[in-house]
Amino acid sequence: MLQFQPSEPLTIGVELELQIVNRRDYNLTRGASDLLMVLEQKQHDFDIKPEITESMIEIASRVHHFPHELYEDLKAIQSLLIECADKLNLALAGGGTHPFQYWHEQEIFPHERYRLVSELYGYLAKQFTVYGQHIHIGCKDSDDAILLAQCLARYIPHFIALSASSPFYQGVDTLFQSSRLTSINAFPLSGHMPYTENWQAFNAYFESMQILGIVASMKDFYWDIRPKPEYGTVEIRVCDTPLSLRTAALLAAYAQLLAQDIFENNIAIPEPSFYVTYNYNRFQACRFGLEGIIIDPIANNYSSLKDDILQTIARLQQGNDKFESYSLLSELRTRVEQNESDSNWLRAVYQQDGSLQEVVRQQAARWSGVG
Amino acid sequence: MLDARLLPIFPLSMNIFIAIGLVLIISLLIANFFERYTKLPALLGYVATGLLIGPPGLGLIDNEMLDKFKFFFDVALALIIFELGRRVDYRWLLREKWLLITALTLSFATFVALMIFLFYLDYNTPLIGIAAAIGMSTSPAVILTIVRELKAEGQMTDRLITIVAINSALAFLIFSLYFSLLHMDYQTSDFLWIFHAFYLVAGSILLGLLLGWCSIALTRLLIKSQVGHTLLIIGFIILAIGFSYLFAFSSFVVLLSFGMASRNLDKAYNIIEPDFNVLDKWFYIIFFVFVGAKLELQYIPQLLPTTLLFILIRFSVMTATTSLLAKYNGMTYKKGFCLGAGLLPLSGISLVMVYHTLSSYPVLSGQLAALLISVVAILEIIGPIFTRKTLISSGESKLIKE
Repeated sequence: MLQFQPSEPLTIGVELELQIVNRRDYNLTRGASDLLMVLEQKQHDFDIKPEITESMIEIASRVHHFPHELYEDLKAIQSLLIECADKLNLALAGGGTHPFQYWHEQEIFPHERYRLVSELYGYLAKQFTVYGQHIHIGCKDSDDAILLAQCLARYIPHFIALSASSPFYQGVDTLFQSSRLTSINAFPLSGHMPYTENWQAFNAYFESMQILGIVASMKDFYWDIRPKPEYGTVEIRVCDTPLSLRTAALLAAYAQLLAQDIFENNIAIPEPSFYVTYNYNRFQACRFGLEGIIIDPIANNYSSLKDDILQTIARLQQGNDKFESYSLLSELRTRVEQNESDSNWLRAVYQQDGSLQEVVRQQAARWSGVG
Repeated sequence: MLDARLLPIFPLSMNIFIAIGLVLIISLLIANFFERYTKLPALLGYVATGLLIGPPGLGLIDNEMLDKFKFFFDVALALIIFELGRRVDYRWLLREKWLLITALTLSFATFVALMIFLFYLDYNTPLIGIAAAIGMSTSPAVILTIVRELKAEGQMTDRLITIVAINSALAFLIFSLYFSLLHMDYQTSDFLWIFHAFYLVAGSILLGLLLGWCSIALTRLLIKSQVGHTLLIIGFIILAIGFSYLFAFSSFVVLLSFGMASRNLDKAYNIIEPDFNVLDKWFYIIFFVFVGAKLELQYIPQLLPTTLLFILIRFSVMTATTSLLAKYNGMTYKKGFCLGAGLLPLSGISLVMVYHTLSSYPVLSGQLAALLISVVAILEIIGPIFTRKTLISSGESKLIKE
């Protein structure tokens, strides 16, 4: 039985998975253990954790009311990380995938949970060397969490398109704006969470999965969006790690205002038939980004993803600016209007220099605020 | 090519093609046996092949034939030193002062300890400086080969390689100064020895920088492909050997500075990291077989206690320094100890240096040279085992876990 720990509604937090690369050829490198060792010697209370492979590290912000505070918090973590990585001659980078790493060269981080995942999923575990941003939104109770998770599902393509930063995978241009989610699709417990109308129904589903021996905890679900009972939040998990912290903060601000809209305007859980086009919309966002389409199976119409996002932003900016984030949303709107995306930026660098090593070098420079 | 003949000429004699074919086949078989049934590094299989079929063993390949291998040896060594240079990031050394401090402390502490040891042994000749300099250096060939064999990656590996570059370069500097001093002692004027040392060091560095700059400029003209860039770099490496001979420069310094320049001057990453993997494996095998065939074991029985003491002092100073400074290098004490122990293999180049000294100053050499030859022989065999073991213990080997 899952216990939902209530939290202050509409507070936000962000987790970012980062690439650890060497400075010689900018390939992924085995650096997490060494980096954590150096971090241990520093005085800090930041949440910095290892991830499934040695070339990944995860940072998590504190809980915030305001996106601009979250941004400052992330910058403080970044500054410490850069200092430690410099000592070890490592570089850190954003981006949903590393453009030219080979999954079979990755090494599972020595931790019991990751060992079990690797044992169960075989090569999928190493293919899981992809990097995402998770956004947490606080909910006052468990039913609110289910409501929010189901309602936010409609905006999943928005988050994919706005964060897309993984056009290259295993040394080739995939033609996708976000190729990262394809790696996650291979897991049996990925995709969207099952349709449930309230916490009781969700808990019944979880228990049956637990009794069947399919899952041990919520961590075993790799859904696009899921409740996180121990934090009292709903977690959006589809975003690629953006190339800069600024984008990470913009996405968090967008998620917070969407959640506010859902709670304050009493938006109801969509009908189950909403999920008919879920996977197709998701594919459109992954493949074409802002130029994809989004189909509404209930209204029986479709629109461009770019227009849908712009209309949503315009709607969210009405009323009083409770979270002091309208300016951030305007920044996001300008980017969308100008078709700016991290994937387009990465392709432009590649086109100019013809070298994926150079792409990662500039990716790392951009993440540390130099590029 | 050999001359065409209508019929074989008796008695049948070994030619270079048969020798190389035999070397490759036998060494691969022995190395495979080592890999499959023992915990010994594959490269020891190549050294063992040299010992077995070279002059120290069956004598299938004699010294005259070994001289014909010199080309492969030179190219292999050049590839190794170039790669060593490419792995040195001077910007890191400037940022991470503790790495530089560790490398310098370790090198000088080993040098001084060995000097004192040799002085008390009554080797009362200026050559103890050369012997101590050789003793402070670590074999780049062994380190890089084992790092590749294990696909090792991490702080210990990176620091190990950088320290090897620094201690080898320092050993070379001391060696050059001593060598010039000896010139002075024997026959030449003060001016000439100073000029010679300056010409050797500065000239070699300048040539390396020039080659680095040219290689970066030329890669801009090529299509960006790893194969194309690798071939271009190999061309430059062979040119570097040729120019070193031509101008009587040190090919070690030329290639080290070439490797460093090709990376550190290449701000826009024009050069795609060369992949020497298949090609240089071929050269590496012949390199280590050559090393094995040139090992001389005859002095060991007579000098065993002194030889072991020399090795023990070297090992103790290196491990003590890296263990004490482990924390400042962001490592655990265990990893710090592993770093020092991993530095045990003695430079193969030192063997060449010993021969060089021997042939130039036979009167001065004698016992000291015999000691060095014995140290090299033992460390060429046990050194790689230590490096392999420490890389595995540190958890940085990807292929083999503890």
